[in-house]
Amino acid sequence: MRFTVSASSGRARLGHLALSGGPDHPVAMATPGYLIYNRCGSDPHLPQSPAGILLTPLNHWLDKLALLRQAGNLRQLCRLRPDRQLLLSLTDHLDYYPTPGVTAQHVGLPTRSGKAPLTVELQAELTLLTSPELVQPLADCEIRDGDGRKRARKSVDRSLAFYDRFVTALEQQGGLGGGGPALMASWVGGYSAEERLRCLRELESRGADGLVVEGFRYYNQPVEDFRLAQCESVLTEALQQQQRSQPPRPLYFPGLVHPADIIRAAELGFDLFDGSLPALLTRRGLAWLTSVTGGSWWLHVGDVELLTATDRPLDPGCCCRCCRQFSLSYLAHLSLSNEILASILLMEHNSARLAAFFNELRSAIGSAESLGGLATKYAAAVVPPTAAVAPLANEQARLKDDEA
Amino acid sequence: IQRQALEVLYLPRPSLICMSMATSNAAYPLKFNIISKCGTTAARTAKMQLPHATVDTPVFMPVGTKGSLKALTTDELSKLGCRIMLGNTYHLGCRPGPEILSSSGGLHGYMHWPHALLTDSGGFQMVSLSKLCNIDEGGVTFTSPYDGTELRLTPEESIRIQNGIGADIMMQLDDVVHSSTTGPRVKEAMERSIRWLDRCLAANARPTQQCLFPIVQGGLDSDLRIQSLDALASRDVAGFAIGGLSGGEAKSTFWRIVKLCTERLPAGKPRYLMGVGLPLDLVVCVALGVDMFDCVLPTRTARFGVALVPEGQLQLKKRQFETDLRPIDDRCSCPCCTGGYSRAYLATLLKEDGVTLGCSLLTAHNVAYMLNLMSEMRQSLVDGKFSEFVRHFFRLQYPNPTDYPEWAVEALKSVGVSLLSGEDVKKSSCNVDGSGDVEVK
Repeated sequence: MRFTVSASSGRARLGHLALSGGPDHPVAMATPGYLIYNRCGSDPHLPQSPAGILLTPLNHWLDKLALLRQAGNLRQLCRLRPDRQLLLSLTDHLDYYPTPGVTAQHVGLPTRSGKAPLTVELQAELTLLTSPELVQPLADCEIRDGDGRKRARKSVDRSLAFYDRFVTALEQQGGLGGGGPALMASWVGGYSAEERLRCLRELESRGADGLVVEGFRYYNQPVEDFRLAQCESVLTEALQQQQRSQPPRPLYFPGLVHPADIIRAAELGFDLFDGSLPALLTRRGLAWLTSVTGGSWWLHVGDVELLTATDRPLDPGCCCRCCRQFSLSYLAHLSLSNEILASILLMEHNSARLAAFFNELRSAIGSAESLGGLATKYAAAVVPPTAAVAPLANEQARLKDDEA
Repeated sequence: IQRQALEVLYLPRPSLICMSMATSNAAYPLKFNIISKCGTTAARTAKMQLPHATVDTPVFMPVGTKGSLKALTTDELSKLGCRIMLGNTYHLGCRPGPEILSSSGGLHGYMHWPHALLTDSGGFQMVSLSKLCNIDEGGVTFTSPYDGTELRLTPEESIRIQNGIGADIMMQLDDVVHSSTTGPRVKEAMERSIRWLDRCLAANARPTQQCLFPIVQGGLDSDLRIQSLDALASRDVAGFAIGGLSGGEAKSTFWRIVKLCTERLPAGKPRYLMGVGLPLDLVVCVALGVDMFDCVLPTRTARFGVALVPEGQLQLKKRQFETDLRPIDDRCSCPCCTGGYSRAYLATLLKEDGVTLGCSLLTAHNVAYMLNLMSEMRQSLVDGKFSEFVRHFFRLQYPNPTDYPEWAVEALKSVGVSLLSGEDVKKSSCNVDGSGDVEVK
C-alpha cells in the first residue's frame, strides 16, 4: 500500500491510496474517499459491483468458517474481480455495535448466530484465507457510557498486545513482508485524551501503516445516533499534540454516516470513511437528492403521492441508471409494492450520490473558504432518526407479500 | 405490399421510444407462422409476430406481476433471451392504475421493457385474493386489497385497464371457478364467459395494437369444454387461452382436458395454457400441442433458494449445500453458472438480509433454465428429434423409469411417444374419462 498526500488545507488533505491488486490490476483511490460497504462479498441491494476497496468485516464470516476453510480463498469464493480489494476489518459498524466481551485472549464479535470469539491465531488464519490488502488487527474497541480512564487504559494495553501478537502470528505464518497486508491499527482509548495520545504514539512507534478510529460509539448506540460532536474534542486534543506522521498514514473513521460529520472529519484530517450511508438510506426507502428539495436532502420514495410523478425522474440532477431510465412514479410504485427492484434502483442512486458528494468534498479541499462553504451547504444533511421513516420491507415481509 | 400505419408513442424518458405497428388489412396485430411440426406428437414450433417483438414458440413467459421481475432488471431479462413477459392487471389496475400507465407510454414505457407483454384480465386474482367477491352477469364486485374499498370489475373495465397497460396480448375477463368446483356453477361460468368475451371484444379500444385471447372454460367436464371450444373457435380472434386448470386437479384429468382443447382449437393460431407450470408439465403439454405458458415458478422458487436443474430442483438453503463449491449446473450458460458462483456461496448470500445478489443470480438462473428448456424443445422440433428430446428429458428427471409419473406416460403415449419402450407408438384418441385405445406400433 502506498499513501501520498498531494495538497492540504488546514488539517484537511487530499491524498492518493494505491494498492497492488496484482501487477495487472492496481487499485487506487483518491482521498478523502470511502470504502465500499458490503456483506459477504456483495454490496447490499446492488447486484453489480463497482471497483474499489471492499470493507470486509470479519464478524460476517465468523459463523461461516467451515465454508471459508473449504473454499480456501475468500476472493475465489466471492468471485471478486481483481479491481475489488479488501480491507479486513473487525465489526460491521452499520448493523452491529461493538459488543461487550473482550478478554486478554479474544474479542467477542457479533454474528447472526450470536457472539463468536476471535483470537489472534484465528485472525491470522483468516487473513491468509482472505488475502486482504489491508487488515485491522484485533483490538479492544469496547466502550460504554460512563467508562473512565481506567477502562480506557485497559483498552489501549490490550489492543497494543493484540497488535504485537498478530504481527508475530502473521510473520510465523508467512503472511507479512513484501506481499503481506498493510496493518490498519485500531486507535482506541475511550474518551480519555491522554490514553488516546498514548495509543497514537505507541502505534506510530510500531510503524502501523494506517489508523482506524474505534471505541467512541457506545455499544448500544445506533449508527445514525452517533455524531462526531460526541468525540470531536477528545480527537482534536490528541491530534493536535501529535505531529503528523511522515510518511503520512491514512486515517480511517468508520461509523460516521451523516454527510455533515464526514465533512467535519475531513477538516480534522481523516482520509477514509465506511461508505455505508447508501445502504442505510436504501433500507429505509430514502433517496439522497443532489439538492435540497421541499426543505430536505432526503426523499422517502414509498409515498403514494409520488405515483403521479410520471413526468420526472427521482432526481433531475443525477445521471445514475435509476434517474436516467425510470420515472419517480415507477420507483414509488415499486417501493409501495415491496419489490426488490425498488431497493436495487434506490441503491444505485444513493451510491452515485455518495460518489458525487466525495468528488465535491475533494474539490473543496483546496481552500479553507471552499471547505467552509461546503460545510455550510451540508450542515442540515443529517439522516433523519429511524423512527421517523418507515423502512422498505425486508425479505421476510416480501415473501409474505407474494401472491399466486 | 401492405400499407402500414406507424404510431409512435413518445415517452417521458427520451431514451426510449416505443413503436406500435398497425397493419391495416389484418384483423389483429398478431401473426402466427408455424415453422415445423413434430411428425409424431402434436408439438409444433412457430414464430409469433407481435407489435413489440417476434416470439419463438413454444414459449415460456416469466411473470412480472407488479411491473418488475423480482430482482432482475429488464436489461438482464432481455439478455437472457426473454421476449415476452406477463404483467398482472389486478395489481397494476389497483396501483398505479391505467391512467398513470397510459400517461407513461403503457407498462412498456413505465418499466422500460422494449419487448412483448401479455396481461391477464384480473379475474383469477380477484376471485382468489379478495375477501369479498360477488359475481353477477354484469361483472364482479370485490374489495380492493390495497385500501379495502369496494370495486367493480366488468368486462369493459378489465379491457379499459388492459388498454391502459398496453400489452401486446390481453386476456378476456372470464367467470373464474376453481377446477375443483362441480355442478351447475361450472356450466353457468362457462356460458357467462362466452358472453363476457363478446363484451370484451367490443370494448377493445385498440384492436390494431392489442389483440385479445378468449379463455376456454368448462372445468373438468368434457362436454362443457367442447361447448366452450366450439363457441370460442367461431370468434375471429388471434389466439386462444386454456383456463381453469393448474388448480390442483388430478393430473390424469388435467392432460386429457388440455389434449381435448388443443385438438379442437384452430391449428393455425397459438394456444396458451395459463398458469402452467413445472418443467415436466411444459414438456408434456408442448407434446399435446400447447404453444405458450406462464408460471411464477422460476421467480418464486428463486426467492426461497430453490434452483431448477435438469435433474429436478436443488434447495440451496439446506445443510448439504453449505460447503458445496460447485456451480448450480456446469452445463448452464446463465450469468450465475458461468460466473462461477458456487451453491454454497449462493446459499450464504440468500441468507443475508438486504443482499440482493443471491436472489438476482438465482432468479436469472431459473429463468434461463426455463427459457433454455423451451429453446431446446424448439430446436428438437426443427431437427425432427422431439420424441428423443422428451425421452432424454425424462431420463434426466427420473433416473429410474419406474418413477415416471403415470399421467405423463399416458399423456405422451396418447400422442405417440412411449417413454417406457423407447419407440414411438400409434396415436390414439383418448377420452377425458380415460377410456379409449392405445396401440403400440
